[in-house]
Amino acid sequence: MGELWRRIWYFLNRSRFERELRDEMAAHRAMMPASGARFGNELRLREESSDVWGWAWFDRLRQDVRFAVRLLVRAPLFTLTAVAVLSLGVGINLAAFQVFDAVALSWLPVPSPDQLVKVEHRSPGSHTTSFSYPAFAFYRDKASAFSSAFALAYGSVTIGDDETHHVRGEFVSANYFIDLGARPLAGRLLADADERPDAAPVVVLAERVWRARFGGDPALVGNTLRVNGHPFTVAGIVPATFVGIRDDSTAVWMPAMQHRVAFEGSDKLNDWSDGGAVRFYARLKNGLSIEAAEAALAPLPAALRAVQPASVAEGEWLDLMPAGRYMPLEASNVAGLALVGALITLVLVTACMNLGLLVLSRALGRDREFSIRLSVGATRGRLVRQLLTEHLVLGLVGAAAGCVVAAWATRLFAVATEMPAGIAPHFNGRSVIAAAALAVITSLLFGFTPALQTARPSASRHLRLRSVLIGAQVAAASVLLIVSGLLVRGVTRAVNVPLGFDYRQTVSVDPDLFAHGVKAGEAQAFWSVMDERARQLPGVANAAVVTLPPFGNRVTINRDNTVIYRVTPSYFDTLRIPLRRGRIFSADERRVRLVSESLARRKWPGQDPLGQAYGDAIVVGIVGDARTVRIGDGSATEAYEPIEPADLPMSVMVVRATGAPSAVAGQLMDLARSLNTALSPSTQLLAEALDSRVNDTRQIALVAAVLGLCALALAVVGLAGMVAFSVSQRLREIGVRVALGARPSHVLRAIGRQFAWPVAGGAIAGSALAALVGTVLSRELYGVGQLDPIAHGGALLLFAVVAGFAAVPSVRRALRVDPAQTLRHE
Amino acid sequence: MPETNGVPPGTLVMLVLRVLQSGSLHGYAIAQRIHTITNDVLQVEEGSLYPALQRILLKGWAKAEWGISETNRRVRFYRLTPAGKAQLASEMDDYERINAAIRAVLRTA
Repeated sequence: MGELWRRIWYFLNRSRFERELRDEMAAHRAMMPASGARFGNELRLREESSDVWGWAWFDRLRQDVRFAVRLLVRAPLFTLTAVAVLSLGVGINLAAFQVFDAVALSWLPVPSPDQLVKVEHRSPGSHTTSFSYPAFAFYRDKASAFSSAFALAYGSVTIGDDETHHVRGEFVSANYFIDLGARPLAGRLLADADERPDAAPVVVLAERVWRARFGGDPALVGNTLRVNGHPFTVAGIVPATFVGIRDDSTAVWMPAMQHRVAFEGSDKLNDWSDGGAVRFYARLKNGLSIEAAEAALAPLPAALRAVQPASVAEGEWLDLMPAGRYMPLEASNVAGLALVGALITLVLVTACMNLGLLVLSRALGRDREFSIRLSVGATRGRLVRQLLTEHLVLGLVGAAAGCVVAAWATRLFAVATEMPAGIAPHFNGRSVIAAAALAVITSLLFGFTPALQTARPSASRHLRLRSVLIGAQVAAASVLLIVSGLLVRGVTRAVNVPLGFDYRQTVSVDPDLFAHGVKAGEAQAFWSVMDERARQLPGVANAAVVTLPPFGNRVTINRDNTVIYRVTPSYFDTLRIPLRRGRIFSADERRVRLVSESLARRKWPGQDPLGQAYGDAIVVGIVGDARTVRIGDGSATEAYEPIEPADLPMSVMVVRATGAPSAVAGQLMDLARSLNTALSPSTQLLAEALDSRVNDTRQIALVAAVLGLCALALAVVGLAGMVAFSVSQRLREIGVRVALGARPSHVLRAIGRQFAWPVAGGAIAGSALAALVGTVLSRELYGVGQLDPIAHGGALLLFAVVAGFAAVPSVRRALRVDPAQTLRHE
Repeated sequence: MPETNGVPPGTLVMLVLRVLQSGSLHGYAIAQRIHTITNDVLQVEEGSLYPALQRILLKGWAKAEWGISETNRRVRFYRLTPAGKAQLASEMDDYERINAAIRAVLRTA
């Protein structure tokens, strides 16, 4: 038994060893001659002997903790306030950490997630995240670094009898589910046999869709389900816990082989020119690093270029990205995450400052206790340690309560943002460490300066410290309130402020010609007939064809943040975009452009834009600003070119109705289908599209608003508490003032003066910080400036009003001071 | 160390180990033995004896067993372990060497 073990043994059996020591010493004393009173203080001797075991620190800590708990229990109001404040601060931060942990740190629930990579290709001048199907197949068959590979091809499809609503479909390699370890909820998932050219068309359905659309009917499995109107056999149901690779919003999966069935006429699987066809994922061979795999893959693009020069760029290489997590940390999202993290930390900062104030005020009331303890021999270090222990106990209790708040907040968040069930945030080792770390950090943050202050009291430093704490929490709360105000303003503006075109009366029709393998010539014929017939429909005011669907995800943008649209001339009348100067181009003109007012102003300030060269084209007219794709981005501008035949397979039609647009939508769909029975066109009311598009920002605004309100509540509790405390401390002084003839206004000024500067300073600092954050967020603000007076003023006013109301009881108490009574009271 | 009657600093553990070498003893007897052997020159304070004994136990140089003293009291006897014997030997060596060195200085300087 080594010394360490003996020490631990002593620790575990401390009470027995203590007893033995006591008995032994008692015997010693009894044996000593009567004159020998030298044995001294027995308790102290025993302590000195047992100190040798090395556990004295533990006993002292236990003493401190016991003392701290007793003190906290004796001040229930303080303790409850502190724990409530802490639980909010810690809870929100812990919840944020758990969400972050779930999406960015935890592995996906699939076998060996660390081997999963997304394959992309780069060349000196380009970076492409997708492949054509034959290119994928080439790499899959040749790459020895991969143990398996699979492709996903997105397709928007209708299912069942409802041929108007489209859902997300994915056409996947047959090994997709096997490779990701998915188990069917019913029936079977895809198997290798489904990939044979002669295989019958099968589809597997997401549990969510199966329950919502088919009432979870078990008889559906094995039966026929129409996809884009074509019969498929339902092979099985994919459980809701399946996350795939960010594949949680998919409704149906089909073998890639069946793309030509769902999209009649599609030749996706053999089309080398369709570079956007599939997303390419692979599994690295056991133990292979990404670098080694990339090196092994290096010769392949050149080999492909030798046979397919058009589909591979000069000097191209395959780029592998880790894909085993839901949202891998990448350079592109780190900045955004850091910003969110900083905002959430502000809640914790507010809570800490708040507690600092509470503790500081309480310390004032404990002056007597501390001076007594100092005078009977406690060192200042011992006092500081005692205080830090108290705060640590408070921090731990607060963190425990914070875990409850976090559990509740993450559940709410998961529901509100529709997080996939498979990666729902939960407690794990990392969360426990995070909670403990938060507890220690908060208790040090809110406890350290007050502890020092207590150990070496100084009235002026006390006031300075208090001002800093008040200022800091006002600043932190203002930042959160103003930022949430900016986001809320952005959302309201997106919904209410004219975007420069008429979307309320407008429908878009997307026949998805490209997916059906329709080529340019055929598309031209289709659109000319479609255009002509659509105009003849009752209730249609005008129609146009455009490359970028309004409120869609497709966008062509150049370096100076200008969106390039290719349109038919009637586009401007259809969306009611006004012509300011010049003329609209005609359909067969080339090398002409229209620019938006903002672009004209930015590019040719003080000059006449008409006739200017823009790229290889001439500006012939200026139209009003009309943001149809980059709706949130206030700095985006637009330029228009005549549409060309090559654009037509990927284009959509926009139609303005004279009456209700929903009435026109069905007719347009029937019309498109009557022109080409293979198609499965989709229509969308632009008003609805805008709503779902704004939804993301609305969610961000909601989260920010919740954070802002939490910070507001915390800061107001702190401020009101400070005012109440200050009034109760100064009752006598106020009594004297009133006795000497002070009016209520004087009393108010006397109380207000000590808070005015810290609050004003905090508000100004908060405003400045919020403006900084607003600059970063400008994409989400829909043109609301980061200095928006309504957001800043409104947030600060709200703060002032709430804080004012919270201070009313204390102020009334101050105003009602009866000088005779307070003076007698002494 | 506060011994007024002078157990030289750092030698108490060695002295205790040495008196235990001739047989197990209880705490009071250890103090008495040192006192009588040195003709009342060295007085072991109880305040340093018991911490020293605890250290000896912790290091594994002695084992303690409860027994009955000559005056019929329940007392704890300390018995030297092999590790204790080795420790004693090495401490005595050190002590001899330093002592010789000190004497050399005192004689010649």
